[in-house]
Amino acid sequence: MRLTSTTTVVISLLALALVAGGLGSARVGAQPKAGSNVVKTLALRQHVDATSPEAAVWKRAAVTRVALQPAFPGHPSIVGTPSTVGVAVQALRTPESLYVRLEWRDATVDTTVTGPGRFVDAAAVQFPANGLASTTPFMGDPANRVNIWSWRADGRPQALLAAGFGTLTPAAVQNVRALGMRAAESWQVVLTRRLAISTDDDVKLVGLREIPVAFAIWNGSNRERDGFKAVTLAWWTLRF
Amino acid sequence: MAKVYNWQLGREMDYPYESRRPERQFAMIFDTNKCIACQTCTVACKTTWTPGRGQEYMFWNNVETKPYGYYPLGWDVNILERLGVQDMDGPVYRGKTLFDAAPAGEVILGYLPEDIDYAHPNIGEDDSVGVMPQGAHLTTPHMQWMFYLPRICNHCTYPACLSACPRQSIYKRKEDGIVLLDQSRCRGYRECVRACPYKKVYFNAQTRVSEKCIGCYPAVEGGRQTQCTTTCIGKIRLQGFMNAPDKVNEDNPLDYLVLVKKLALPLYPQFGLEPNTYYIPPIHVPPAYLRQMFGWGVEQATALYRKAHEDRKLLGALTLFGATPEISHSFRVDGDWVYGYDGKQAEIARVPIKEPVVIRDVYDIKHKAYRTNIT
Repeated sequence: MRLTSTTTVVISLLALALVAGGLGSARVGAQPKAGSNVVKTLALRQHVDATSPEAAVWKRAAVTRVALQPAFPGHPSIVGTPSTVGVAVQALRTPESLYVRLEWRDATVDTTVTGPGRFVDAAAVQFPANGLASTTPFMGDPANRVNIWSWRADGRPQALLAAGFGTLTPAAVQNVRALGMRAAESWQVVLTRRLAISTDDDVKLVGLREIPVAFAIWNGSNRERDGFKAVTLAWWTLRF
Repeated sequence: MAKVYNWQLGREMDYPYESRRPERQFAMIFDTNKCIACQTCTVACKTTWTPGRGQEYMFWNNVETKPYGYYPLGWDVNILERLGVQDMDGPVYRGKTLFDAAPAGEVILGYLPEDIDYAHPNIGEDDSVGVMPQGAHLTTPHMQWMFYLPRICNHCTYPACLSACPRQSIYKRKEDGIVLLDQSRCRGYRECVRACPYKKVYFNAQTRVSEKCIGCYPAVEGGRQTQCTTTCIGKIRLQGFMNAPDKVNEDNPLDYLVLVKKLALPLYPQFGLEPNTYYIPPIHVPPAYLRQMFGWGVEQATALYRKAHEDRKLLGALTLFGATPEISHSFRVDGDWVYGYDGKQAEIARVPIKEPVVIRDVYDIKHKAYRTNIT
């Protein structure tokens, strides 16, 4: 069977959304701009294990409050409004690894899937695989893929690649670790990856001054999954 | 949306993808008049395909008691109520399909069952309830009737599950029209579970991805009928391939029963999926109920079934049910016998249309013993 009008509609809507949203930085050819949407990374010269969201070193990293919006509905089944409106982001780089810490309010704990009607809480950090802000933040496109670090409340972290809506695929090399913890009515999650990697697929993090980054949060109780999520609609800049 | 032709509705309809009929279509016919709900099919399927963790409540094949039995609970009445009353007079269906009835911006009208809806397969379906004192009897304002409805995935020509998957994880094979779900592509969003009106895609909470009937494709590729068909002790099923409605072959038993004689009818054709399992409707059930379930041909089908003994070829086709584990691509009636043939015209079944009656002497001279009727 062949894809017909649905794809066309999605693509034209996407183009519309890019223009209407004023996402200048996402347009092809545009370079990342150092605007207000910056997450500053705490750079450390010594080895520190920041895998735990409660690690003491996180007290030293700046906290950036990132507002989230409903994701662009990439296909017609996505209906409803995601419940998360913002996420507190911190980043930390050691000589070996990059750590990203996310904290957001979610009063309902969805850590297990017991049946067809249950979904888990989740979070994701997205980078353009080529490191360029000209890549669309809406799951990339066939020529410009995105690299996603994902955490799910059932404990599964995953490194993923996508080249457009509906193409999300686990990366050949699983190099992402993640740990989530509950604190009062929120989730605290740290996702991490070693800077040096053995594959050409994933985003390169060595020798950079900054990299575009995007965030997504799912609330399982609200049946959020797939493109039904709260996201940053444009790239932010992760500055080292 | 593309315009596709749905022969069961007698008209074109909207579907998200263009029509691409398979070379031949996996299909199954159930004779509901013969089903006794022994669940041998259900167990055969379960032990073959779904015995694992996370599959406990997964029944790719199930048999439910109609009108008040369902699996999952209320699957058909839930979607019928959402679709609303439609004109079912035929021969062209003028009502809405589930694609027509989709909420604005969505592909199809559907719903996601509650977890509890899967929790009690068949519980209470054939039981009387409450205390039954001596002399108790039931009076109802209408005639009493029930029948058993065996169900598998319909391997629809226009699958709702396929149309709803945002990842194209579900595909329909061009060689036989079997609808498969690629579990390595699935990410457990359950859009297919929500979209399938027959609720024949199941979510596995252990693996966190969905699963469905695979039409026993390893058997079918080898020329054998599905597990649920070959194990059926009541011989109520016939599984094989159907041709496209414009390429009918009268010698193909499925084409003959579905497209020529119109004895076997699709399940809820008004949904618009062109489902490919077909039912010989129960002859004792009020037509108004059957019409909603199997479409406008039910009166003719039940009348034809009652007169089947007058039609040698029809009787022959019905005799092929359960006659061989292999797939009959064609059949022929010659005298009192029906013959089934595989895809290379080799004979695979030879069955007497009328079972011969043998009356034996009461005394067996050879063994010097009386033959007693032990029952």
